[in-house]
Formats: sequence, C-alpha cells, structure tokens
Amino acid sequence: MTAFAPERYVSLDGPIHRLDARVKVALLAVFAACVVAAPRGRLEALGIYLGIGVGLTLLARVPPTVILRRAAIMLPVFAGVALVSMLFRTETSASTVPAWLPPLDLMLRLLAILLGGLLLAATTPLWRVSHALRALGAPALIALLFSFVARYAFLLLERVMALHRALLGRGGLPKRLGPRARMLTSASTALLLRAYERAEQVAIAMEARGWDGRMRSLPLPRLGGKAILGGVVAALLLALPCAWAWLR
Amino acid sequence: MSDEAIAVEDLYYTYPDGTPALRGATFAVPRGARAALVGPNGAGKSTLILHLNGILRGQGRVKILGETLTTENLRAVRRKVGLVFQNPDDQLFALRVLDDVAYGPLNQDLPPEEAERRAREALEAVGMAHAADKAPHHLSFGERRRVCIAGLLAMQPEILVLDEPTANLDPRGRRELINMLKTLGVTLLVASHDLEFVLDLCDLGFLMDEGRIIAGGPPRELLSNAQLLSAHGLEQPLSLRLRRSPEPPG
Repeated sequence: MTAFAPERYVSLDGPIHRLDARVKVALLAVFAACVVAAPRGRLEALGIYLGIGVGLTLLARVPPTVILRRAAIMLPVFAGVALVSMLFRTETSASTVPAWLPPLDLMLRLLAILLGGLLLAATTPLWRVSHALRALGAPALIALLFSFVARYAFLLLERVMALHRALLGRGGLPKRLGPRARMLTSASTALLLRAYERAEQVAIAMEARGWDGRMRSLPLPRLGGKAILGGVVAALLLALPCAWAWLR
Repeated sequence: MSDEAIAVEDLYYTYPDGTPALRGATFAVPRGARAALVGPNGAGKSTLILHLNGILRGQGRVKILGETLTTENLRAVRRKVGLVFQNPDDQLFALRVLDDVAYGPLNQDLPPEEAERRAREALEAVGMAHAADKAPHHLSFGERRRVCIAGLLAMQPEILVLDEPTANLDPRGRRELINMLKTLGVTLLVASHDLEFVLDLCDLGFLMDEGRIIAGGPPRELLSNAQLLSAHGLEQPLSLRLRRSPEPPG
C-alpha cells in the first residue's frame, strides 16, 4: 500500500474531483505560468495564488493540513534554492530591493506551484494525469517518464522504509558523523543498485510484450463543450491576480 | 504442424561475466501440456526461460511451435510466447491495471477499442475485472501476479511461461493461481521450486541442474525419485513422502 497521503483522497467525490483530468492538468499549467509570470516582489499577488490553492483544497474536501504538511517537507529545499539565488544576485537588483525579498518571493512561488501539484495528486488518480498529459500533447518521453516515476516512486519509498526498519533493527544510525555518513552512503548505493536492476527487468518485460519505442494508449472519451468552456473561464480567472499585479 | 510447442536443442549460454548458465540444455514440451522445470537455485531455469522468446540468445536451437527462433521472426515469436516474471512489480509498469493489460495488445497494433476489449476479457479470465481502474501498488502480491498473467493472456499467446509463479503467495493466493492456470487452455511451462504446486498442476516435469536437463517425465514419477532429487539439491514433496511412509501402529 502507498504511504503517499494525498493519494488517499482521490476517491472522494468533490467538485474538483469530478473535473476532467485534462482540464485540471491544463489549469495547473496555467496556474504555474501565472505564478511564474507575476511581477517580482509583489507578494500580495503570490499570497492570492497561495490562497487560491488553499481555497481549492477546502473546496475539494481534502484536509489542507495534509497538503500543507506534505508541502512543508519541501520547504528546506525551497529555502536552499532561495538562499542560493540570493547569493548570486546581481548588483543592480541588490541595490533596489531589500535582501530578504527575492528569496521570500522565490519560496512563495515554489510553494504555490507545489500546492497546485499536490492538490492535483489528491484529486486525480495518477493514471488519469498520465493520460491527460498525452492527450494535451506532452512529448511522449515526458509522459512516459511521468508514468515511470509515479509508478516506481511508491516502490522506492517502500524500499527506503524497509531499509530504515532494517537499520533500526540493527541499532539505528551511528551517532558519530563519519560512520553515519558511511552507513547512509552504503544504504543509498544499495538502493541505487536495486533501482538499476529493476530498470533492467522492466526493460526486459517491456521488450517481451512487444515494445518497439512507440507509445500507444487506450482511447479517452471526448472532452465535452461544457468542460472546455469551464476550463477557459477558470484559466481567465486564474490569470486575473497576475494581471492585476502588473497593472497596479 | 509440429506437435511440439517448445523444443530446445543443445542450448549453451554464458553470461558476459563468464558464468556458464546453460550447458547443452535439451528438452521438448508438447502442445497443450502443462510442463514444469524444477531444479535448485542457479540451475539455469530463469536463463533458459529468457531464451524462449529471444530475450537472451545462446548457442543452440530454440523452436517455438515448430519454427526455429531467429532475429527475423523474433516479433512473431513474442506474440506466441508470454513470459511471466518472478516479481510482478518488474512487469506491471503502467499506473492503471487496465493500461498495463492493454499494453501488449496495443503493441500488436490492434485498434485501441479491440485492445481494451481484449484487456477486459483477460482480466475477467483471471478474476481481476474489478481491479481494472486500480493502481498496481494498491493490489496484493497475488493479485498483481494475476494481473501480470492477464497482461499476457490479452496478447493471446499460445504458450505461457511462468518463473516461480507461487513465490511469495499465501496459501489462498497459491490455490487461486493453480485453479486459474488449470482453466487457461494454453501450453504452460513453469519454473518452480514449489514441488507440491508442480504435482498439482503439471502433467510433465523436467529436472534441471548445472545448465542441463537431467531427467524428464510425469511429475509424480520424477518427484518420487528421492535419490535423484537429493543429488540435485531438491527434496521429495511431502505429499509423496507421506504416501510412501507405513501406516502408524494402532
């Protein structure tokens, strides 16, 4: 079974859940584009986008704490990215804006996009996302990679948890930094080798079932006019905060 | 038309690291038979199986339904021989059960609607129709194995080859698998350590060790030879041992 909490909510029946996956994926792309395109340093616009993310989570009846807790896991990574970006600031920008603003701006953008992605994962089965990517014309390689990552991330996570239990069963990680680093390196190497072996097995299995390098998929039902219209209206609404921030 | 579904003659294979895996393996499985390859770990069973649809190519001859396997007919042969691997997670790579089962038929260039129909029929045949829209990681190990088998049945192969099909199955999953395999109506070849499973399912058995076929015959006869089994790292199945042991006094 999966340990990925947002996936537990895909079977709920909410207004966001009922939307066609193609519309949701397209809207996530619009949402991400708007977040990226919002003018630099306009935190109020980014706040609106974060608010939209939380609001849609509530509308989908997914507990926001589930999404926020998962998003919080990535906060140190985002903070790291933001700090690196601060170190490489150009002189011009450094002289005109306070030092704390660009990293905070970047962190909020990343957080808003992550919220959108997690909301999609909590309201749409991953296979529908994969189908939607293909239907929306994503390159076959991207769709295939998404499919593999989504399929095998769970197995990798199970493997990591099994390894963690095995380490705990043998007294846990050493307290001293050197031995601890050595043990973690050895565990990571074991994981990497297992992943490589699995990749080879999967390739053999694909070949055995006729893989010839072409991606083929089952047909999808036609997207109704209502869904397209609703999607276009929602996309325009999503663009409003960004446009407002530019015009102010 | 050949009476043999599989005929392997004098097959040799050495892995790139120099480990010899097959050393002149020779055996034949008649059409419609349910055959078993038994042998200790490292006997070469899995390597031999990978030769049956050309994933590995050794020296010697492999004939499938009377046709010698060559580079030219590889694709055609793969339509006839379905391989089920030991670990279902190596075989189920799609995010949804139905997509995975339809993968083979789609690669056969069938129209998508026909591929979906075949996939649903195959899922029905293995008792997994209810799981069509589920993700593979939400299924039990036994269910995943059945979906793997459905993925091959949807390709309508004439031969089904299974590597350690009962590994990691609980008794119920194992029983369900045996019952399902008995109803399939295709030529079966299973590589297994589970000798009770072989006795229950198969009508032909081959003992393999050190890359060669040591003996062959009806499983009950083959697996009754305790000396032969012991010499090749196997143990007589309990059911046969109990049958041979004298009645307890009183």
